[in-house]
Amino acid sequence: MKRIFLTIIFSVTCIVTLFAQAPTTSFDVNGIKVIFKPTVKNMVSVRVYFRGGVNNYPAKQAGIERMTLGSLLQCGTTKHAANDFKDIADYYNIDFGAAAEYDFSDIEMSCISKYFDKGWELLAEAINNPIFDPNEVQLLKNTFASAVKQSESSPDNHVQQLLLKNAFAGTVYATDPDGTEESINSFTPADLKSYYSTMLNKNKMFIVIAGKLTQKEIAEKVKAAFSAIPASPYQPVVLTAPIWNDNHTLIEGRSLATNYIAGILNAPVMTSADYIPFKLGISAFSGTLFSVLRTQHNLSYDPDASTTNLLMPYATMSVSTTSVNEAVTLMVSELNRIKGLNINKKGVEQIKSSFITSNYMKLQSSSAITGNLGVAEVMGGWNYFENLPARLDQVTSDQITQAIRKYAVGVRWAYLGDVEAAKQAEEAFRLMVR
Amino acid sequence: MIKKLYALVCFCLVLNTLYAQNKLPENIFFKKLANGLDVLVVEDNSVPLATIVITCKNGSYTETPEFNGLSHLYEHMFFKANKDYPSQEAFMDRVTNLGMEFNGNTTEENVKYYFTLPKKNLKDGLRFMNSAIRFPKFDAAEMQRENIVVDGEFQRNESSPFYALNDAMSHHLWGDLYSRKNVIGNHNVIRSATPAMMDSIKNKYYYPNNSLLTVAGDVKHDDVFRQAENIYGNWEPSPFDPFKKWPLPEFKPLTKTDYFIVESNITRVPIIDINWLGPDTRTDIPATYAADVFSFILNQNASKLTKALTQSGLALQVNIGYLTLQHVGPISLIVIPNPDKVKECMAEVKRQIALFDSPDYVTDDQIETAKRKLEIKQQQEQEVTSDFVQVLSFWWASASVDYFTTYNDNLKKVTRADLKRYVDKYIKGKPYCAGLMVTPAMRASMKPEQFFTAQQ
Repeated sequence: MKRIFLTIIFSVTCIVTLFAQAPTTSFDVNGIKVIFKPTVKNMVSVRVYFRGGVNNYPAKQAGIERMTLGSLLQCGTTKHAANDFKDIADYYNIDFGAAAEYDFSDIEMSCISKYFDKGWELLAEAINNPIFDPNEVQLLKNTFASAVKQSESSPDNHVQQLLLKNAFAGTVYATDPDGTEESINSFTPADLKSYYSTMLNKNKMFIVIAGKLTQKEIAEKVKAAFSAIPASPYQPVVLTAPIWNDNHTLIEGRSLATNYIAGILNAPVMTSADYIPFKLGISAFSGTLFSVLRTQHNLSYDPDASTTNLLMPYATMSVSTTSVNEAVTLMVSELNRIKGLNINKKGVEQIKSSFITSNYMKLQSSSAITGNLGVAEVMGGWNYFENLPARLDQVTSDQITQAIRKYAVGVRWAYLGDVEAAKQAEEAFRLMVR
Repeated sequence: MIKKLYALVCFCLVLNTLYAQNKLPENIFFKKLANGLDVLVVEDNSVPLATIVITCKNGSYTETPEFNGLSHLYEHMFFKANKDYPSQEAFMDRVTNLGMEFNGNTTEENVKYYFTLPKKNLKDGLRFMNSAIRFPKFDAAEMQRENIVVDGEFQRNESSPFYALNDAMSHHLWGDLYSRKNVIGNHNVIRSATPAMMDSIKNKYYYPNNSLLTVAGDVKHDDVFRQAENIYGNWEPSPFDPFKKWPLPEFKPLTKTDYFIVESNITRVPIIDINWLGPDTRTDIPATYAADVFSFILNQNASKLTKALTQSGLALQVNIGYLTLQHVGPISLIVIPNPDKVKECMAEVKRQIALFDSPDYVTDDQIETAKRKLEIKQQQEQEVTSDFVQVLSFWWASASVDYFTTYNDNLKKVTRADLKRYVDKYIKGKPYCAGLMVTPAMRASMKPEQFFTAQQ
C-alpha cells in the first residue's frame, strides 16, 4: 500500500509541474527578496511583507502596524489624493488589502492580469509616497475602531481572542495586532508616519508574487519601484512559546443560544521535524472529534481541531455546544486516546490523502499562494510550503504518535457563554491531558 | 404518456445542448442526459483535483411553516447512511479512503452537495455521489441524533450579532410567507422531523430532471459525460414538474413602509438595514441586470451615496446589494452609522434614496466602471474552480445556465434609462422595511423612536 501511495504522490507532482503551475523561485532585486510563483490563470496577487509583527511595537501601540498599512491604501499619496487612489482602484477593479498578524504584516494587491501594470503602479505609489492625510486618517480610525467592536461581537472571533489572552499572557502575543478601540483612537497621522519609517527597510521586507508573469518583468518592476527603499540592519525575531503543561480556563459570560469553547495546545514550529507529523496528528484528531462529538454523541455542529503556523505556534480544539460538561470531557478523553493510539499504515495513508487534497485546494488562487508562501517565508523559508508534499510523504505512523505525545501536554481553555454551564463543567476543564 | 414525455425531453436536449454550448466559455461544457439531468463540466488542469457537485432545486422556497428547515436537515441526512454505505461510519470511511473534502449547502432556491478529491478518484467519487443522492436511508435513530446537530447549527446562527436583525427583517419583509425565505428553519420542526418527512422531500424534488451534476477540475468533458451517462443514466426522472404540482405561493407586495427597532445585547455597533422587494428572473430579467449595475455604481468610492455617507463621516460602512432569485430577490441597503451621528446618518440615507432616480445621481463613467467591475468579478469567480462550481449552481437554480453565459453581454446593454426604470419600479417611492439594531443602552441614550420612523 505504501508503494502505491508513493506512486500516486509522484505522478501527481509531475502532472502539476508539466501541465499547470511551474515551481516557485526566489531572487534578489537590489536588496529586496522576491518570491515568485508562475501560474496559469488570469489573476495576479502581489503581497509586500513586513517582518516582526507584534514584536515591533509595545502593547500600548496595539494596532499601529495595521493602521499604518491601512493608511497607505486609504489616506492618499503624493500623486493621488485618497479618493483619486480609490477611484482608480475601482475603475480597474483592483483589490487592495492590509493585514497585521502576530509575526508580520502585509499589503496585498490583486487584479486581473490585464490591469497588472495599473495595480502595480498604485501599489508602488502607496508604499513609496503615502501622505497620511489627517481627515482620511480620522475616517479610517473610526472604521477600524468599529471593526474591532464588531469582531468582539462575533462569538467565534471573541473566543479566539480570549484563548490567546489566556495562553499568551506575559508574552508579545498578548498584544492584539488589530488593536483596541482606545489604542486606535490615540494614533495621530504623525505617529503613523513616524512608525512607517521604521517599517520601510529592505531587510525587513520581502515581496511574493503569483501570476501569469515572467521573472524578468517582475525584476524590472521591483527594481524601478523599490530600489530607493533604505536598507538597515535587521535581526529576525526569535520567540520561544510558553509550555502549557497544566490546565487553566478563562471564562467570559455572554447570553448566547449556545456556548463557545476553545482549547489551546503546544505545537512545533514549521522548521521542526515534528511539524508535519504533528499537523497530520491534529488532522486525525479533528476527524475524531467530528466523528465522536458530532456523529456519535450529537453534542455539536462544528467540533474541530487545527494547527497554526506562527513563531510561537499552537494547536486549537474548539466546539460550540449546549452540553458543556459532556463535550469538554469527550474532547480531553479523545485527545488522550489519540495520544495512546498507534495509527496503522492504512490510517496514515488516508490522513495523508485528505491532507494532499486540502493542500492542492490552497493552490487554486493566486492570493492563497502568495499568502501561504509568505507565511512560510516568515517562519523559516518559503520552500517549506513548496516542498510540503515531499515532506509529507516521508512521515511515519510513529512520528505522528510521538509528535502528539510530545506537544499535547496541557490545555489553556477559553469559554464564552452561560457562566453557570461553565461552572458545572469545572471538573471537565481540569481533566489532564495524559 | 411516458413515451411522449421522453420525446419532449429529447427535443429539449437537442435545443439546450446547442443553445447553451454556443455561448459557453471554451472550458465549460454542457449536456442534458435523456433522464433530464443537466451536466456541466468545467475543465481546469491547474491542480490535479476534481470537484463533483449535485445541485437540486429545493430549499426554503419549497417549505411551508410545517416543513421549515427540513431542506437543510435533508442536506445533513445526505451525509449519513445509504444503500451502499449502511452507516455514517461506513460513509465517513469512504470519504477518508477517497481523500475527499466534502460539504453541503442549503439556500432559498437550491441545495448542493460537493466533494473535492484527487482526480484519480473521479470515477469512485461519481459513484459515491450517486449512492448518496439517489439512495439515502433515513434511519429514524440517526435522524433523531442529527436533528440535534442541525439545531446546534441554528443556535450558532442565533449567536451571531446579525441574526436578530436579519430574522426580524425577514418577518417584516415576507410576512406570512416567512418560511419560504428562512433557510435555517424552525427549532420545533427540526427537532421533531421524521423519516417520512424526508421521504416526502425526496419524492417531490430529488429527481434527475430537477438536478444539476457539475464536475470541475483536471477532467476531460467527454470522459465525464460518458461516466455521467453510465452512472446516472438509469436515475428515473419524475413524471411531473414539482413546481407545477406544488406551486409556490407568490410573495405579496408590501402595502406600507415599515420601520422597526431590534434590541440585542450581542451587537457592539448600531446597524441599519433597509430592504425593498426587488425583481426576479421569472418576471423581470432586464431589471435584474439593472439592479446589479445600480448596486455596483452606488458601492463605488466615487458614488454620491458613498460621498454623502462614508466620506462625510456619517457612516462607517455602506453597502447596497440585490440577490438574484427566481422568486423575488430582496434589495438590501446596509449602513453601519457613526454611533455618534445615527440620527443625522438616517436623515441623509432618506435624502439619498429620494435622489436615486435624479438624472445626475450617477455619471456615465460610473455606469461603465460598474459594468467593468461586474465583468471582472465574473472572471475572478472562475479562479478557484472548487468554489466556481457553486456559483454555477446558484445561477442554474435561480436563473439558468444561459443567464450566466450571457450575463456580461446583457450588462453591457443596460442604459441610464434602464437604471431609472429599475429605481422607479422597485425603490423610489415604494414601500420598504427598515430595521435598526441597537443595544438596550444605545436605545436609551439614542432614543431612535423619535427619528427612526417612516416620516420624512
